[in-house]
Amino acid sequence: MELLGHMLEGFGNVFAVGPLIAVAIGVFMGILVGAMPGLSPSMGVALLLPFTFRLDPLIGLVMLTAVYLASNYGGSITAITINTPGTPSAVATAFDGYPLTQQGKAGIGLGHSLVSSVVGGFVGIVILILFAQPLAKIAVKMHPAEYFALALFGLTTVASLGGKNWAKAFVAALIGLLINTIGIDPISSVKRYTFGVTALFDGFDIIPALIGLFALSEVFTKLEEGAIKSIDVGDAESRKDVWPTLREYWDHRRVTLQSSVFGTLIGIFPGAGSAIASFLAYDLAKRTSKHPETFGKGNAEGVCAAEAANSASVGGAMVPLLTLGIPGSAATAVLVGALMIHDLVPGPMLFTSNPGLIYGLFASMLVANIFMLFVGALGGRLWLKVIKISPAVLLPMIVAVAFIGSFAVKNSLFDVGACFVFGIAGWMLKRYGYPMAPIVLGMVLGKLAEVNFRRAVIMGGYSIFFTRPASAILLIISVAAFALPFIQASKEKRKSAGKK
Amino acid sequence: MPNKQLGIFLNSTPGFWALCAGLLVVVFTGRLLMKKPIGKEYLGQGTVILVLMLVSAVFLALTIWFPVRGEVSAAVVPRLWIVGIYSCLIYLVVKILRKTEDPDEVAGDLILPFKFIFATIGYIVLMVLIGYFLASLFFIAVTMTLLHYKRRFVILAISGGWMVFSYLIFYRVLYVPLPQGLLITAFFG
Repeated sequence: MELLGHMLEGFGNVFAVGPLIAVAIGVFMGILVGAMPGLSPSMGVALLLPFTFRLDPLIGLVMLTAVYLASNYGGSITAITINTPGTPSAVATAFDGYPLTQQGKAGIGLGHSLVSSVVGGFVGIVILILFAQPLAKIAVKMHPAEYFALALFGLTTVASLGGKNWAKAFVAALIGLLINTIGIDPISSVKRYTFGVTALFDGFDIIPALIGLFALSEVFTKLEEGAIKSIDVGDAESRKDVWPTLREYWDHRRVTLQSSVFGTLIGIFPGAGSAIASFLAYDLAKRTSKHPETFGKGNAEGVCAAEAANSASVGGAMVPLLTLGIPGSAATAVLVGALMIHDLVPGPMLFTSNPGLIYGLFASMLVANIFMLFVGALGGRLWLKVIKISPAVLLPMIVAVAFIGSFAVKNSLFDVGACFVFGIAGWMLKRYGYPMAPIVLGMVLGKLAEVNFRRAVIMGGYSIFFTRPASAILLIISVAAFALPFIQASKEKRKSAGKK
Repeated sequence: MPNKQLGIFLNSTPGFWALCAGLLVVVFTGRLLMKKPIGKEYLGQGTVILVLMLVSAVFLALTIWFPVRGEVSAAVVPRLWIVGIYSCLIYLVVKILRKTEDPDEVAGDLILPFKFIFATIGYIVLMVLIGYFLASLFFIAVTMTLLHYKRRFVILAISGGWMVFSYLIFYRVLYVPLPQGLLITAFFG
């Protein structure tokens, strides 16, 4: 009853001109930031932060949270239309989103991406409202051994992502993990593979690598294929054919809800983030689908899974932030700054000292999702126009945008060069069947895996991974998840051999 | 501990270039030598595997010189990943030798991507010299022409439009300090 009262108060605070305009601006900016390769959700929140200094705390926070929420959806737009994920969390969206575009069904991908993002966002926020405090307590009790096991579990997605080319997918993931070891070692501060280059002390940033591996390599592939004509989207421009029908949305309810809950849970763990959530949810969706063989070839379920999970992870990431004051991601770290600017200390006291603000924030996140649905639906036709642009115009523009995105991360030309090198390497590897996504997955999980592996060993020796029940269970699940695709493949092989 | 001086050299920038030169020589020699045993249809994949094996070997060798601090040294995790890479690559080599791996796909038109790559290298160099905005103007105009775009007015409008848009949005509104260029800064301050 108390919760209901607080929520009503929250809605009362949000349904005013100021907060509603702030939500609208935040959603619009968030979608733009997300769609722009190189501008991450955390950068979007950070860029808008100075504009909130003089605003009312609720209005300022509402705007920043709306940016964070909408940027996770925005990343999927370029992932689906031009195979250039705007954010790392949209990489998994591109697996099936871009093949849909190639089949002239970009609208189907965009529609499912929008609706599943909204549903995921809702589920994440509802879980945040109902279970924030108990979930946060569990998340902070996680031992490094369990975090390492979680990272390893994240890597199991490679087994199903790779399919027939599993060995190449593993090589790609291990390359990503190895790239992550470049720079100053986070535990003992030893310089590894820096070759006297100061810019390498922090290692390679994920954004230039991501842009290079996906956007630039795609540009080179298109040029090699001689695809100078625009992608034929057929009748897709007529609104009637563009969006999925209500029935189609309904058909994907299971995968959307499953991924939403899963994404929220992953988002709660500090450091896990939306990219890991979307990869794991995609993998889970593939494993539980009736048609796993169509994943990666334009199955809308894949888009729903990835998008629902990465949007839901926003609600999850807010759990440790608001209940314990622990930022679980870069964007929530910027939000901590925003809270502190307004003399608000994130933590359990915030719920008792400022319930109007906290529940107003929750209410605004629900409202932001509704705004996102409208802005996304209205912008749909505009996004589709992107793929109608002649490649002779689009390909040079992709490079120009990619270089701005890479530069903006650290204002460094080194990152522009890195983006270019990753682009060439990605093109070469792709030509010989090495998938790009596992490299990104390796880079995303590398630090989480290494730091926690070493911390766990320092704390309890190598046996600790098997003596802690949660870690042991996660490791067993990981091994099973690794083995399952191979067992299924060999079963199918035997079956087909038997038929012959 | 192996020769400390060698470790210092290999971990420096000149050492990096020396390693790159060495790798290039070994890769080209290896490519010539492997042509016969694996056949032309696997030459591309063979070359990629050779490059990955050599780079991993170099990374593995460099771990020898990592200082040991604490219980779990900084070399442990890179070595773990390298062992994984080698295991998978050896599996792929066996598949290629047994001819059970899918052969290389037929290469498409490589002239256009290489022209585009050279234009992109020029773009990066120009970015350093004359800044992002002017370099983008030239790059977009040149590559659109390279990709057989005929309407000159559109080429000018798009490249000029992008220059203005990127300046206003990224430089002015979003405060991204895009490079001004060494020459522009030297002449105009």
